Amino acid sequence: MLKPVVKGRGRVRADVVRLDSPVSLLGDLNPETGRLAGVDVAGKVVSLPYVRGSTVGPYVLWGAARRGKAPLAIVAEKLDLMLVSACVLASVPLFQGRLESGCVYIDLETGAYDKC
Amino acid sequence: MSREYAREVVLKIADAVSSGEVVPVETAHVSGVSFLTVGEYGVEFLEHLAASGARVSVFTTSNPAAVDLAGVLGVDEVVAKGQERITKALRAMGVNTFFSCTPYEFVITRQRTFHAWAESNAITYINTFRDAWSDKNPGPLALLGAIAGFVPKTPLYTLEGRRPTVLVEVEAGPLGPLEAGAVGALMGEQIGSGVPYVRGLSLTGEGARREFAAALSTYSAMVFAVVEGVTPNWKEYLEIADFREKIRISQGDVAKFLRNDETPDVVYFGCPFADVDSVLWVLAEVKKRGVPKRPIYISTSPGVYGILGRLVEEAKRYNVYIFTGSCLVVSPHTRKFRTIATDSLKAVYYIPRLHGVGVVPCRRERCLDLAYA
Repeated sequence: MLKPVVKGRGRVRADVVRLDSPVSLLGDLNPETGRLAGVDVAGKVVSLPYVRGSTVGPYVLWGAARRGKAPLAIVAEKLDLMLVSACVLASVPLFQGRLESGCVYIDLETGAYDKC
Repeated sequence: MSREYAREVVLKIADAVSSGEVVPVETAHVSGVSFLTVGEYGVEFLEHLAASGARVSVFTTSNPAAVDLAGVLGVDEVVAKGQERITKALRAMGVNTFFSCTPYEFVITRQRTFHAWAESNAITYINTFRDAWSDKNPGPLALLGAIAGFVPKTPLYTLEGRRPTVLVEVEAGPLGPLEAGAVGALMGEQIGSGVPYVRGLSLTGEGARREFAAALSTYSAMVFAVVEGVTPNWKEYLEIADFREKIRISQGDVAKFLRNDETPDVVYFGCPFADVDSVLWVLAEVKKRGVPKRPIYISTSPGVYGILGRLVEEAKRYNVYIFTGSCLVVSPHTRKFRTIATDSLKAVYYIPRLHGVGVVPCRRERCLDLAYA
């Protein structure tokens, strides 16, 4: 079970992309293509260690969400005010924890999940 | 509708970081207003918010922009147009577009009042030298907080969260601007997080106070230090202190930030924005010594710029360019230089990272010598 930080709604089936290095939303996320550090994350659950870098990051995630290119949810091992602000602004559910790459059924409100 | 949106967002963030608790704020200061740093997505967000009718509900100021107010720094059309859109959106929302990183000059924050500020040097300044309380709010959160009128009640908005945790003994000084920045940077690097209580910190003046606050918050996540004998209510902070660590900073440690291996093509003062005494000191020196070989750039606040009046024009004859509303950290103009000599350790940190331009950290007097070398 993942700890919900910014809650979403509904239970969905989703692909999980796991990134092993921290990313910066400014620079690593392309809001036009939905690629994060070169990997397509649009509509997928991204699991990453933490987000670093510029406090401008929230704007970039918001830009991606507006274009329908944001991740479905973000799972981070470590959280900070910047990542929380970014997710709230972009309406991207945020959980604390870690997921392996693959496929899950995930409850976007509680963080409960099962592997497909 | 829009205030509703801002309230919702801030409350949601509060749910995640402060068990839903918020504090009302008296003022706000918004960062992330340079087109160079926020880019197209930042502009879109600000325009979207302004178009929805959002208006700030407390006195709100803004950080430096990519373009200065008198056109000393040249920028290309894309940046200029982007900046114009940002300025328009901010004004529509009722933000005061002073474009200053030292709003504490004219926003007289009182002790133990709450503020939603988002520029680390300014936050550290009011926390440390005024005991006015602000946490480091990301740019968009400070703006939404300004609209909503409140921000999440994170630990720095509580006395408990401001309890000193590290004792710092400074055995150097009195410290000029560069040395004050070096002590701030060393504290930042060695402590990283927590609340330092600093004993023996002797600063030469306002310039040194600004550099200390700027460097501490650039080289760490910390935006508050208690300075013995200086921070209002320091005795109360000492009484509640829970020291888990103790560090010592000596004159020798400060020297590690000085470099002499490169010749600059420009000298830069004013990060954070220079106070009036610092500008007048430079002007007095160049009048004494004659026109320097290399240009000297000084960024300052609109307030100080206004006080200087015709001295700004006179300075140009001495190869000294005083400008306001922007700085060499957030302006793309910086990329026209190869190596910049500066007494600001914040500029030393950011200029190579944001612009790929070299820096030479130097004491104020030495920086000036380099302009003549």
